[in-house]
Amino acid sequence: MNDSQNYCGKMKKKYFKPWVTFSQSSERVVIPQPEAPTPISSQSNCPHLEQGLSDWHSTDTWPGGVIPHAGSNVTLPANTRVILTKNQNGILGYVSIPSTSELIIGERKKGIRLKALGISVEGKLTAGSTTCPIETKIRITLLGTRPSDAVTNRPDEIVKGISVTGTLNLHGEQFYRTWTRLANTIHAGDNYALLQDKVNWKPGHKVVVVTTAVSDTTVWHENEVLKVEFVDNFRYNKQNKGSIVYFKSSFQHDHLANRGYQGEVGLLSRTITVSGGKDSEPTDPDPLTCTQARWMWGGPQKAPCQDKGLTGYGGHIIIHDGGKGYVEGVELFRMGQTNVLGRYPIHFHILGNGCDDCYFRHSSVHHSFYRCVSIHGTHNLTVTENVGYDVTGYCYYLEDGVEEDNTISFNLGAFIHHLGEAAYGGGQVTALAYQSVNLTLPADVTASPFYITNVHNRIIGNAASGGWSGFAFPSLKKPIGAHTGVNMRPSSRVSLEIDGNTAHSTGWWWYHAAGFYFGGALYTADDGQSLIYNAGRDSANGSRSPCLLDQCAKGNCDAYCPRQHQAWVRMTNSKAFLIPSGGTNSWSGRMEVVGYEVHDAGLALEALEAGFWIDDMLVVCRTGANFSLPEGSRASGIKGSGFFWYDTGQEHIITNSLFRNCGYRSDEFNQYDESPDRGCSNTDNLMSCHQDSTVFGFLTHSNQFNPEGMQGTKNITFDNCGRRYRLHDWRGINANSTVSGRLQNWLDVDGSASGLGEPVIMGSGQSEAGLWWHVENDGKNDVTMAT
Amino acid sequence: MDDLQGPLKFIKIGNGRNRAIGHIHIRFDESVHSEVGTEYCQNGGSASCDALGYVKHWGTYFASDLGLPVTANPDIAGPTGGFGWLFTLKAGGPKYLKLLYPEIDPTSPLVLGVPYPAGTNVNITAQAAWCTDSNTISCQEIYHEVASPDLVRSGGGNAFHMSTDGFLTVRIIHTPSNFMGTPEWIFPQMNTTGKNGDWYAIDRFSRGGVTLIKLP
Repeated sequence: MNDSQNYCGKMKKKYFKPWVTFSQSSERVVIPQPEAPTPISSQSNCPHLEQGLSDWHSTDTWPGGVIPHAGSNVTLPANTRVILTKNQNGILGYVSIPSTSELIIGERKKGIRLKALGISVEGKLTAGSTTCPIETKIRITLLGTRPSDAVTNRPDEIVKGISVTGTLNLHGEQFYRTWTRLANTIHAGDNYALLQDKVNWKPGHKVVVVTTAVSDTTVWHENEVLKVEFVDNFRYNKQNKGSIVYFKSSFQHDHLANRGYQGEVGLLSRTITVSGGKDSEPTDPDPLTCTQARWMWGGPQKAPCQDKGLTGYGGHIIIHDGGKGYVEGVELFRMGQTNVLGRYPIHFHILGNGCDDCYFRHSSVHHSFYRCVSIHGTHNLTVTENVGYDVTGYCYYLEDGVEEDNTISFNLGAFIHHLGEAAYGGGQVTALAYQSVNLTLPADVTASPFYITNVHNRIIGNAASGGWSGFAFPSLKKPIGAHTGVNMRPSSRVSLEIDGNTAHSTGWWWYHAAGFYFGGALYTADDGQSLIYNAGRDSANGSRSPCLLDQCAKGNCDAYCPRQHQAWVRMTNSKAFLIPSGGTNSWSGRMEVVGYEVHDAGLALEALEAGFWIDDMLVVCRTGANFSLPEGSRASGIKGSGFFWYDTGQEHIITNSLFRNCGYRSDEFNQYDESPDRGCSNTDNLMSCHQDSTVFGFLTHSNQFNPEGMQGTKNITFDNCGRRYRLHDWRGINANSTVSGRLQNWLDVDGSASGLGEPVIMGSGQSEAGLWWHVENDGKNDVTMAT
Repeated sequence: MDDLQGPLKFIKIGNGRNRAIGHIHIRFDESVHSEVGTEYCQNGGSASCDALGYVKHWGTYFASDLGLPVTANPDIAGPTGGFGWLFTLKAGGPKYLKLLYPEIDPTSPLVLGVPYPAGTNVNITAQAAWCTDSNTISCQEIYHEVASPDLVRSGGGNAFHMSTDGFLTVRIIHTPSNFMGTPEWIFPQMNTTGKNGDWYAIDRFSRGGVTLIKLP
């Protein structure tokens, strides 16, 4: 009897039902799936099996007959293809591959190890090919200690890096899926996970099971990394669609899978590993003992200690100056150098359109000290099916705002750590973050799994957990960094495709942060060099006006985009869940959000723009799942509301949308629904909502900013909701009514929101408005003046 | 039917006249309007924002109603399509009256009525904010007087009536911000094209079967 048989009996009773298959994993949206790979029956066109290769370990290969040894700098002979077939003992100095040469790393059952201070690839560095993925272990380790002035006096590319101006071909075995989602909830104590997809992971592989807690931060998280014991691909269910993965240890926490959302499970191990040495670890680790004066989510919250963890100094890969990078099936571990510009796990650096067949795919980046992959001044690149986990700074990263036509698809990013103090503030304002030696990119105060500075890219099927937000879309009026002065406006670009992305366990640090955050402004200071970041609403620098005309090319980036040429940033098929703030927040420009699910969030969507359409939205304010929260916070501190109409200058349209289990439940709010479990209450412990929870809210605190005719709806459905409407004045219920409060209105085109079933105008019911929001039903008597 | 939660009022559009939501910003005393946000009518603050006047719907149904307070920040949004909005100031009929930011459905008339002392003379001019006169474009319109409020209401939006007892009526329409006529005065409808044939004269945001008129 083997292990599989051991588990078999238990599985039939315990594991087979209930499960969440892919088709059941969402109610409204359709999350796209990566294309299944073409099976490779056997390796072919293996570079390491080609004829005419020179053996690294042969004296004949090297001038003078001296085989490279520990401590020596190595330059491959010109016009030579050298193959490494076994471990290179000791730590080499710098390895240089001239433009006419190639270093090929082969396969060996026991693996092949290469340690060096750095590698310069003017020629080629090769391991495997697309038809010959490496199936045995290759470990390239980069070593070196961090100079004290690493930020201000950055070492050359070769230092603790692989500097590629030639061609980098790294092709590890493809594991599919590189990540998937749970098919059933994991309970603490379990040692297995049911997955929605089949996987070909192997015993000993490291896997991250991403948190489904509401918080995912360095000071408190429930991500878990376990080793695979074995994978069972045969006993899952009748459709045989998924895998059961057994682990060598048991889970410490629950990980949720329900019909609304499911936690992700990602593979960290690969056959080819490029890593920094143990000397990469920061010498100033965060003791995680700090608190801050933020009372959020029902209590005071811990926070990372300031200016700690700033000395991580991992390895890096940079492809630049005409280089090419084809990297797949590679594990990047202990890479990236905190706050050192350009020193990232993998960095496609200013390649323009010259690397349009390049890719970084099927790989993992974990325990990174600075980002995952940077697309910098590079277009038409493909970054797909990667796993990023435990990363300082933004993970998937469009660096200067000029990067376009890239595909960032089916990637997972989780457990992302901000630098500096996480952006926070009162109202819509946060403190400005300034560039410094401790904060090279000030936007890293809102570090998130995905950093999209230009929407003219394809952002498809990605999953985000943790970070200040899940997907950060900052506004850049001008390109930054190396592209300062380029005549284009990133924030005016039209979106290519933003589809099928999910975000969860994020938005912890600020009430206006969100799973999808279209806010924040990054710009160059008056000195023309240093950067400033405003994480909050920035009317001066943070507006976004996607335009079909290129006004910059016509000579004036500031020119008004004529009405007929205005475009909308379109986001489709998106899902946000387990977010204490908002599922989506956009206060930077016109958007269409079409196909959108939100579960267990503080607010479904926050939008501030004259031209915002939300269609086919499902909002489940409380699914009934228990929230996992850090000590000091409470579920009832998380609102659980649907949508708030803003108070001035907007045009918001919501169509074909359903709200479920939203709105506070009390005897006071039973006009539309009296069911005992409608909405939510603040006494349900781990699934509570705030007593202010409402399906729709109106901002009514202002006498200065007042509504016009700004909001309309069609085909709205309330499903088991408590309070539906709330005129909200943060000054309290006893405050005097305001101009904005008295003028609130709403065009209910089909009467579905009001429940009257015919076109309806809703208006303020505040008593101080008198009969202003009344009409005579037949209108016969209002033709005469009554003075 | 009223909503008790917001609280909100529900108005069936199909009842009686063709109802819509309209908006105007009605300025009458720049000395107070200029202090909005500071001395008066703050964004959540405690500064005074008391009623300087009121606006209410015409008709006997509303006769006993004080109306909607009009403050130093004189935004008015409300249901249109009745006979009109009656605007009164505590200080009496304003010598200066400037209407900005109209959002008005052309099929749902909005007639503004303002009481003045008998014998008051008025001059009314409409001016496009972002406009340069040309052979094909006019930027300004001087309103003409007609014989009755009914003619004002059914007119083209560039007429007024002053009764013998001093009651002014003028129809407020949604004029584009960049022209008033081509060059003759136009009363833009929802399908009227904009200046030079671009877009629409009445800006709007329209999606999924819902149309919201935008500020010009």
